[in-house]
Amino acid sequence: MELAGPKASLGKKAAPLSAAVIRLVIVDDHAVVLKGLQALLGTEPDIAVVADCTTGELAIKAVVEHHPDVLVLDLRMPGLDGLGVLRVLNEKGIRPRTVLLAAEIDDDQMLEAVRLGVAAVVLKEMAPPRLIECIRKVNAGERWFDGQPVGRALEAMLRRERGLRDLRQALTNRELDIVRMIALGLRNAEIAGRLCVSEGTVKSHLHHVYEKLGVNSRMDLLLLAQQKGLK
Amino acid sequence: MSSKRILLVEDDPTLRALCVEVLENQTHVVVAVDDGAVALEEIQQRPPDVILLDLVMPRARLDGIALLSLLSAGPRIPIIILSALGDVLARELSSELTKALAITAILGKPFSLEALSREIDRLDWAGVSG
Repeated sequence: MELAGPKASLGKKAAPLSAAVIRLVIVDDHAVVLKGLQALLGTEPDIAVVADCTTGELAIKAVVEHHPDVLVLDLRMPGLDGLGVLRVLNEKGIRPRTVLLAAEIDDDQMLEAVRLGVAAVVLKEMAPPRLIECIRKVNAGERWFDGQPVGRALEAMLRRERGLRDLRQALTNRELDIVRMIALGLRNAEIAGRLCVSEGTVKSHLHHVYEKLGVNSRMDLLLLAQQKGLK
Repeated sequence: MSSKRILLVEDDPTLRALCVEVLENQTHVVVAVDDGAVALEEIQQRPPDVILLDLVMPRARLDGIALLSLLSAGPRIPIIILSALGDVLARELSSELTKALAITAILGKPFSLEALSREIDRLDWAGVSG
């Protein structure tokens, strides 16, 4: 099978890999994307794709085998996704310079990517020449987060942690559970069902929560919970 | 410029050694660690005057981001962030949050040692340490 394993690049003929050549492992579960990347990168004299892979598991094997200068890795893949690949490699003590390719990325994924040492996040909508520029910069030890909300992701995470800590200090665990369910949009009867208590008990807990947090309505509580990052 | 007790949390051994050498030459007392978990123990036992904190430390048990989060609940110790993401963070983190976390400066790597010394000295006249 053509896509059964990490395979050596077919994009170039017998160009000896010198120190000036950037050796890549590229990973994407869509064969057409891989072909596109091969075609794009194959024209660059200083870039060589040493392996391409369609799964996270194959990506790990390829990185272990080839020790690429740069790993170009799809974020979203069935099974082991891009962040999963990096987690496994990190546990093995292998930390390749990585360009993460993403159609879209949320704040939590962005922050985890940063924490796993990803050097660049490139949206798939980015113009191809920018990807090549990015690979060269990452190979040179630089980072590339232009236009990516890294700070926003960090701020959201820190705010959420602080908010949770505030709520944990003010509320009991049961009250916190109820607030969390309200933040999810559940009604009292649904909360009662989940907690195996009467609706009256939920109302009683809510009354205490209102008093402790100084809110006057369910909507105020909902807004406060969301503001504190509770969901 | 007063001598300070500085906790440096940085996983790059070369940068760590360089910072220690320069700061000790400036009469500061520097405790240098490569893991937020070790830093946390140090902070609990002997709170420093200022923390120099690298955020991204993939090898650490507790990275700089997690430590920063934990510190937000503890005593307010001035923090100078040292990060390859420094420019991005300086641009995007709100002043409200940096004040709440006692972040006094964000230095993007590579940074000059003069800039680092300047930010540490600035704590004196800013009245947040020493």
